[in-house]
Amino acid sequence: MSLKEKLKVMIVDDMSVSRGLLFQALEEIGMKNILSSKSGEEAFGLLTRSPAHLVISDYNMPGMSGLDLLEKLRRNSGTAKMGFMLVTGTPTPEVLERGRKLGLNNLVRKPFTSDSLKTSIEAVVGRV
Amino acid sequence: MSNATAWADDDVVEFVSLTSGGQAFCVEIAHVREIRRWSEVTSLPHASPSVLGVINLRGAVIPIVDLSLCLGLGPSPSHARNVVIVASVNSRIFGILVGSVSEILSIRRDEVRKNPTQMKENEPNYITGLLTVGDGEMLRILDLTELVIQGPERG
Amino acid sequence: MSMESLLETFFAECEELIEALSDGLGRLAAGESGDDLVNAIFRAVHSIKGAGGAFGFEDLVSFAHVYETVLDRIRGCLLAIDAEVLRVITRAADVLAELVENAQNEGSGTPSALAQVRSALEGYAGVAPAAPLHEPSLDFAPMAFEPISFDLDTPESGGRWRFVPDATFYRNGHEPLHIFSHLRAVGDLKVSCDFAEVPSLDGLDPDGSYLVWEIESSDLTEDVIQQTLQFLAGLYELSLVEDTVVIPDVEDQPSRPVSADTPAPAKTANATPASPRATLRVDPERVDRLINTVGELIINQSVIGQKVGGLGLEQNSELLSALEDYRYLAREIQEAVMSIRAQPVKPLFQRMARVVREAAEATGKDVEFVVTGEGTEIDKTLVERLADPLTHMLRNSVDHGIETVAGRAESGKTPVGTVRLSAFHRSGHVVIEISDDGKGLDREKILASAIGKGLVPEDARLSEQEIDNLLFMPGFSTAAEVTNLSGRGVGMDVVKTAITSMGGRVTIATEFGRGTTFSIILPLTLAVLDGMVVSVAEQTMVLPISGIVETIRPARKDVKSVGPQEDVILVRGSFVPVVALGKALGFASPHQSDPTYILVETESSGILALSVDGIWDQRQVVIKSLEGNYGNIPGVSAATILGDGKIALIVDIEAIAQLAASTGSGPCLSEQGIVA
Repeated sequence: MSLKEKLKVMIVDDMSVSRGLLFQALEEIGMKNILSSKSGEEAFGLLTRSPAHLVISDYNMPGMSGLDLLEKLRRNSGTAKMGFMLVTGTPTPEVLERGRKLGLNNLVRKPFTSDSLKTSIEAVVGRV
Repeated sequence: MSNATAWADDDVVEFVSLTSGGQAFCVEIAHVREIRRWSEVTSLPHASPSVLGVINLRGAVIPIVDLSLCLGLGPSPSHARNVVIVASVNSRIFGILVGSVSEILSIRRDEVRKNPTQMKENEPNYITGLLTVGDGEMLRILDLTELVIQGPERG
Repeated sequence: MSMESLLETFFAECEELIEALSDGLGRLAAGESGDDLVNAIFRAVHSIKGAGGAFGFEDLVSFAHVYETVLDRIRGCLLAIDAEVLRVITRAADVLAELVENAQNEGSGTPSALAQVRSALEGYAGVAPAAPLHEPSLDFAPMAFEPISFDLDTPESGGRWRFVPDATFYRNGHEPLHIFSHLRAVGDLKVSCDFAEVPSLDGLDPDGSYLVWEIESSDLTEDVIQQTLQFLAGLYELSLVEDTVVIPDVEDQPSRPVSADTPAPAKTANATPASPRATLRVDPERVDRLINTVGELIINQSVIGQKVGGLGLEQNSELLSALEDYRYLAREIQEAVMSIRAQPVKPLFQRMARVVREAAEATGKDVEFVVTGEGTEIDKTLVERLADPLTHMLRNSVDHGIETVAGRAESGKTPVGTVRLSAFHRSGHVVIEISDDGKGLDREKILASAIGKGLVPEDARLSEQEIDNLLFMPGFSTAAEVTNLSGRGVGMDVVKTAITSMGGRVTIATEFGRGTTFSIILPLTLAVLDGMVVSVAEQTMVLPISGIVETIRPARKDVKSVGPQEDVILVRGSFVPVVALGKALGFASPHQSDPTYILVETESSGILALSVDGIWDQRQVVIKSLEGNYGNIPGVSAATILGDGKIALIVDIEAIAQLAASTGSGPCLSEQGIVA
């Protein structure tokens, strides 16, 4: 089984459009194992019960932000080592700084294409 | 029709032949949804005489038109022994009370002849074409679109 | 998901976001404040921008970007909200909404206020921000982020849980030891027992469950555990023990404390976040199908009821009580299904706020827009169909109703005019009122104009109400000069036609110099109606309960003839005109020997007494349209299917009043209303 078929990815975004776009792009790349959830809270619940390899989360969400989710995942032993990519249009230096401290694996810049998404993923897991 | 299969699909039109007011007609099968026995109607106020009323067809309310009256052939004598053709034209569903329904005919398109006798100018022209079947009998093709526009709404 | 369906989702989501946006702005305007509020406003614009970019809506994204920049400055306390800022960001929401609409309609038009609002926003944004679509933002150095690769062999599983069996677990003979060996067969397991909950001996219930087991595994996941213990479902609780992993160097970050000592409650893991409005998008056709099928179910229930009723069973028989349950359940389903389509008028009213603001701006008038009853729910299809008529009526109110500031001063009014839009329920209907405190209708001018246009004869003598109703005549327009706002060739007749096609009516109340109120009266829902089943001229018909005041069987002496075909009934001292229902509907009805009278209230003719042959029943009926397959019938609004499967027509009481008035078979009503 190739890496992209094995890789289990969790999409987190409050907008169903964005979830759909990410889903589409990941499918285009050839991913088979894609989950999604519409808030950080929901994603955390799902990930503690059934972990994923990589989380791709929006930054700006009501309630728990993408970085809040990252922090929560990193603080929990079962989920601490997951890969985490943050989707954002214009990351501020503060966001970058906090992300770096929490061990954020990569950024996905909005708007993204399946190619740019692929590049971002490959930068952290190797060639898919 | 034994030789029907030899024709290309595009060239064949199927008709349901029927009688109304003692005369023979047919309608294109594409418009026919089902054929059922007469059931009691609910009369409609301010309706033209040819609209007998409405019936409940599995939850939908559909009007029933007396074809014989529409064609100026006088009222159908006995509703109870007659047959209702449920037709669908332009997403409108309605029933046509006819005397009887006999068979389904597969006719090559080029066998359908234009109606040479234009009716009176101001009269709705329900007959769009003519067919001759095996024994030389002539069938008139009814245009249900004309019927549904002219019929139920005339009242 | 195809691109089209994503795009559809995007526009649906935009609608929700714009609603949230105007909601937030409304709360700001009402004096509320707070980070959460500003954040919510910011997020709405940000989300529209983000998703809009993915679809390449450049105009939308570039405007949203400037807008967002201003909101971000407000959020960061770099810009204080004063009246002018509030005005600009509120107008900006209108422009944004219009841009979304343009994108949706694939229109190339530019909102008229775009340039002006944009430059106002840019003024507040400080520097004109760069369009973010293609070039990377200039806000920070090129992405200064070094990707960190991670180990894919990360254990996909493992964790620590608290396993708490309940008392039934033990009562049913289960043994924790067996359970754990069961789990060990699936994965690796470490178990420890927590005795903390065990009470002292005097308080101990021998059948109680007090032991808490902590299980730890390096390869099991919660799903696997739950699956393995499926046969115990409901007899135990399993909750994740959240561990603290120390993340170096995050002290300077505001972080939420995570406690390792207190285990999370069992439900934490799958608790759904409190979202402001979770919605489900469903193809309306599916809902229609559901509504139709439920309608059939209700009919079927009454058919069975009727059949069983004819069996002469004992009152307390099991069949009857089961049937009663069935009836109850069918009603429950019906109500639930109907509520799927019910929708508050709020989003519609919010759009109307935009219409009024634009109209006020275009005419240079000062208008306060007051909305009440925005929580009132009506059928979704009605909400959509109301948008155009309301837009037109509100523009009219601002354009023709409200005076200019100078004009208001002359009349001794406050400089700011008020336009009110309200919705409420009244006796089985939804009423939507559009009222203004402007100059009121000038009946002399209206009549003169109608005569001038040849719409009424010169010597016509019309009642006040008839003159008001001239507004609804095709080809009528009162504006002395055609303004660029209302004079768009759409008349009030179009409004009236639109409302009538929804089964509603429009009425006018006006006072010269004081203002005008238009009332739109609509049916609550299009699908079900409470009706009284009556027999008329050998037909079974249904009268809507909403129009019925009472039924009476007057003494013969109280029915008086006032003409060859005209009767009145004396009801508590006043005369009520009689309308023979069968006759009004054109049925040849034999002379009614002993009619029953039903008093009905009509908008156009007041109280009338409809005479019918008998009253059968009172029940809820499912409305079946006649228009689809047949057409409009004067005096009949729709049909329904009765318990025996037969069709009964539903009487349109208002139309009957008008029919009676026009044919003269009923009372003389020439003073009342115009028959449309």
